[in-house]
Amino acid sequence: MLTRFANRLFWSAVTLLGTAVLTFLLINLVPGDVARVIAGPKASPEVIQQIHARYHLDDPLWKRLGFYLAQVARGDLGQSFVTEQPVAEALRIRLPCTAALAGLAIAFWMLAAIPLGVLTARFRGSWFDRSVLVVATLTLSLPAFWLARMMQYGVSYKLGWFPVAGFRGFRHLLLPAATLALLAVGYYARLIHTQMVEVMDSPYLRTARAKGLPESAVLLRHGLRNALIPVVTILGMDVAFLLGGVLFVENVFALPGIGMLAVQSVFNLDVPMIMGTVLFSAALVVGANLVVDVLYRWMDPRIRSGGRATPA
Amino acid sequence: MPLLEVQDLRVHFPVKQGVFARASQTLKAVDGVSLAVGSGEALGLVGESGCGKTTLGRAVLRLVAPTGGRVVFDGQDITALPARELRRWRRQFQMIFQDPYSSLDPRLPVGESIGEALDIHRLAPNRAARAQRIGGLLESVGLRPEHASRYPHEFSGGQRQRIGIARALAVEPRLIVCDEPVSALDVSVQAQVINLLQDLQQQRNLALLFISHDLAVVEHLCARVAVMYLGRIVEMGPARELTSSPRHPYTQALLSAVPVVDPDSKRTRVVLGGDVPSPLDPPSGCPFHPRCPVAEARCRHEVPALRDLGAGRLAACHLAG
Amino acid sequence: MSDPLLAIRDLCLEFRTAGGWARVVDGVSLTIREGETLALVGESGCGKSVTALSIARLLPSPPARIAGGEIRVAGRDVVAMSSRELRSIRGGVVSYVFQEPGASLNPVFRVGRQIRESLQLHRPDRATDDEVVRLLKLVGIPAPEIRARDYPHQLSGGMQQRVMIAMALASEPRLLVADEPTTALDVTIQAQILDLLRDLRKRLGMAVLLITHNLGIVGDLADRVAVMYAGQVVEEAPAAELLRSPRHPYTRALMQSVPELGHASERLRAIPGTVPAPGRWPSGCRFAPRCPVVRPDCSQSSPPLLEVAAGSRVRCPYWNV
Repeated sequence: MLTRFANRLFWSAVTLLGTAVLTFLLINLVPGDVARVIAGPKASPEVIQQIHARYHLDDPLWKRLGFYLAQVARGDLGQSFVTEQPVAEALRIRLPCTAALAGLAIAFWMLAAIPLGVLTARFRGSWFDRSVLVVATLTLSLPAFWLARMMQYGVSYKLGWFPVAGFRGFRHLLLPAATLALLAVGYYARLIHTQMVEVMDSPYLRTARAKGLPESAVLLRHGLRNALIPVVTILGMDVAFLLGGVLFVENVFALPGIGMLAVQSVFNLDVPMIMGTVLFSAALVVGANLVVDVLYRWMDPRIRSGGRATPA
Repeated sequence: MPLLEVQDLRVHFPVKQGVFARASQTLKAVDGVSLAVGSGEALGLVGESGCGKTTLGRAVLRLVAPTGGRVVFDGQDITALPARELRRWRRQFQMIFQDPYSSLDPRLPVGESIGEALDIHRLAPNRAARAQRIGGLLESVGLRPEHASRYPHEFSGGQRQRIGIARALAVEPRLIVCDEPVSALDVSVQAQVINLLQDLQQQRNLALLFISHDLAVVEHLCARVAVMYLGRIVEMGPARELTSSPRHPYTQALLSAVPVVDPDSKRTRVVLGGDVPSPLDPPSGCPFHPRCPVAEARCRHEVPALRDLGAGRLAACHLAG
Repeated sequence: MSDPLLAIRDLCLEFRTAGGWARVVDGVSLTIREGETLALVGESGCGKSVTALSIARLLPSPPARIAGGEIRVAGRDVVAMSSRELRSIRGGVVSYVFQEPGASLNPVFRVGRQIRESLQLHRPDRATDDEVVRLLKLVGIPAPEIRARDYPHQLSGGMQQRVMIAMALASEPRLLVADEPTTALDVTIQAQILDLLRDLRKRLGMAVLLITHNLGIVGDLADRVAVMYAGQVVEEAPAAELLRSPRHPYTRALMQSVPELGHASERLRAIPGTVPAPGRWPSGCRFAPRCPVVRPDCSQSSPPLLEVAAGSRVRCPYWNV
C-alpha cells in the first residue's frame, strides 16, 4: 500500500516536471518578444535591452529552463512581468473563487446525475429513460462558451434571477456552477445509467433481493455503491475537462478566478504567470487523481487488499 | 523414446506489487514436473483448480515460458528453441480449449478458421484441395462439409467443440493438449465429444495430454493418469489401477469425492478438511500434509519424492508402499 | 391434510424475445412438504433454474412473465402477492443459495455485514455480532470472528459458499433453494459443501430444493427427484428408486452417458443431437428426436405425465415396454 502510494507520488512529480518543461518550451517558441510586450510598442531599444538583461532573456533556452525549474523547486514561482506581483500570491488570492466554483459544479452535476442515472436504469426503456437520453445527448454537444453566454443572457439578464457578472458572494457562483454542471450532467447521467444497468444484472443484486430487501435498498445500498466505483475514476480524469470549462465560464461571468488569470496572462505574454497557472492546474489534476486513487481503494475492497493470484 | 518428455519442468510467476517493489513473491505454478507421453498414448492430468495443470499444458506447448527444466518433443529439446524454429514444430502439437466459443473467431466462417491453420503451414496446394480438406475434417468430427460456411454462433456448444477439434486436426499434429474440453458442455453432449476424442486418438494414433478435473472422464479416455497438487505430481500410474487402488492420500480423497449415481454403492467417504493452500505460500514439507488424514511428523518437514512403487506406479508420499 | 410447504401447479414461464414470447417452462407441477428434499435435475436450458427463481418471484419482469399456473408457498399464492408480502416470503420462508458464490456476494461489503443484513430483515432482535459468528460457526467456517470481517474476495470459493449458506440460514427459512450450489467448486470442496447441506438439513429440519445437472450428487441428499427436459418434468420418483431403475428414456440415457469410475472399458452411450433451445421444442414428445427407443407415433402427440406408482410419474407411454 505504502509503496504503491510512493509510486503514485513519483509519477505525479514526473508528470508535473514534464508539464513544466513542455509549457516553458511552447511559450518560448511562440514568436514575439516578451520585452516588447512588457515595455510597450514604443519602448526604446535601451529599455528593451534592460528588460532582456533583467529577465535573462538572452540566455540560451536550456539555461533559462534550468533556472526556472530550480526556482520552482525552491518553491518560488517568480513574479508577474506585468504587475510584479508574486505568482504564488496571485494564485492564492484567486484560488477560493475557482475552488468554490469547481466544487459547486461537481456537487450540482453529481447530485443531478445520480438520481437520473439510477431512475433511468430502474425504468429502463420507459419514456422517462428515453427523454433523459435525448436531453443528455443534446447537452453533450453544447459548446461551453456558448452555453455560458446563453445562460447569462437568458437566466440572469432577461429573467433577472441571478447576478449577471462579478463576484461578490455565493449567489454569484450559482449560475456559473450550474452552467458547468449542465455541460457534464448528461454524460454522467448516462455513465451512471450504464453502470447501474450492468450492476442490476449481477448475481449479488439477486441475492440482495432474495433476502427480502426492499427494492430501494437493493438499488441504492447494494447497486449504487458498486456502480459508482468506475464513475469515480472517470470523475478524476474529468478534472482537466472541468478546469477547461472553468476558464470559459470565469471569463464570461467575470469571476476573478484562476481561469480569468490564465487568459489575462496569455494575452499579456506574462510568462511567469502563464507558467504558474498551467503548473497549478496540472497540480490540481494530479492531486485530484491521487484523491481518486485513495477514494477508489476505499470504495472497492478488492483493489485495497490486492486480489489473490491463483491461475489454474 | 517417448514422443513428449517433460523433465523437471518449472514455471514460476513473479508476483509484483507496485513498480518500485521487486518481485516480492513467487507463484510456483508448476514446480518440478517430469512426465512422458508415448506416441499415440493418452495421458490424463488431473487436479483441482490452481494445481498448475493448465499452466503445465501451456508450458508443454511453449505458450508460457518455462522457468526451468526441459520439454523434449520427438528427441528435440524445444525449451529454448528460437521463435522461428518453434513455428515449424508447432504443426506437430495443437491445443483444444475448454470454451470453444472464445477460441474461434466469431467473424470468420468456421471453414475459414480451419483453413487458416492449413494456410499457415501450407498444407493445401490449391483452393479446391483446401475446400476438400476442410470438408473432410468437418466430416471426421461428425459435422457436414456444408457447415464450413456457417459462423460459430450458429452452432451449439458441443458442435463448436467439434470444430475446435477439427481445427486442431487440420495440421495433422502428433500431440494434442486438451484443456478441460468437455467441462463446459451439457452432460448429454459430453459423452459425444469424449467418444469422438477416443475414436480420433485410436484411428490417427494421436498422443493426448488430457487435462481435466474429472477423474471419471480421464479414466475413461486415458491409459495413464497423473494427479497434480500444488504444482507437483503426487501420483502417476495406469488409469485403472490408479482409480481402483489409489496410493496417495490425496488421490484417495479425490476419488471418494467423485459423486456416484448408484444409490447402493458402499463407498468409504473421505471428505478432506480445509481448502487448497495458496500456491504463493505453499506448506513446508509435503504440500498436502495440512489436509492429509494420515500425515505424520516427518511429512511437515520432508518433501516426499515421486517414488517408483513398481508396476508403472509412482507416488509422492512417505507412507505409500 | 395440511398444505404442502411448496406447491407449484401447471407453471408456465415465458421470456420476451425479439420474436415474441418464448416459453421456457411449460406446465411444471412440483410439491415439497416440510422437511423434505427434492432434487430438480436437468441440463442447461431445461427450465430448472427459472422454476426455482420463480418460487420467490425473483425472475426479473420484464423480460420474464408467469404465463400461467400457480405457486403456493405455505399455502399462500405467490403469484398474486404484493411486493411487501413478497419481501416477507423472501428469506422469511424461502432462502436461496446460488451457483457462483463469488459473484453472488456483494464485493464491497464485509461478509459479516451481509449476514447481519438478513438478520435485521427477519430476526431484528438477533441482529448481533454474536449471532453472525454463531451462523458462521454453524456452516463450519474456522475463526468466524475474523472471517466475519473479511470481504468476499478474501475467501476461497468453498468458504464463500459457506457464507452464502450462513446468510440463507440467518432468516431461519423453512425452504432452502440451492441452485447448483457446488457446480463452480472443486470436487473435494463440493464434497464438503454437500456434507454440510446434509448435516444442516438434518439439524434444522428445513426442506431443500436442490437444483443440479449432476445425478451423482442427488443420491446422498434427496428424498425425491424430478427430472426436467425442455421445459417439462419428464420423470419424478423417490430418489433411490429413480437412480436404481429410471423409467423415462431420457433419464436412462442421461445416466448411461455419464462416465463412471471403474467402468472405463465400456464405450459411453452418448445421446445424439443437442439439447433443444427454449422455444424450439419439437412437437409431440420433446425427447423423441434424440430418443434411443423412439416409436413412429412419439412425435405425433405430447405424452402426458403418467402416475405409474405412488409418488412416481413418467412422461412416456412406453416406460414399461
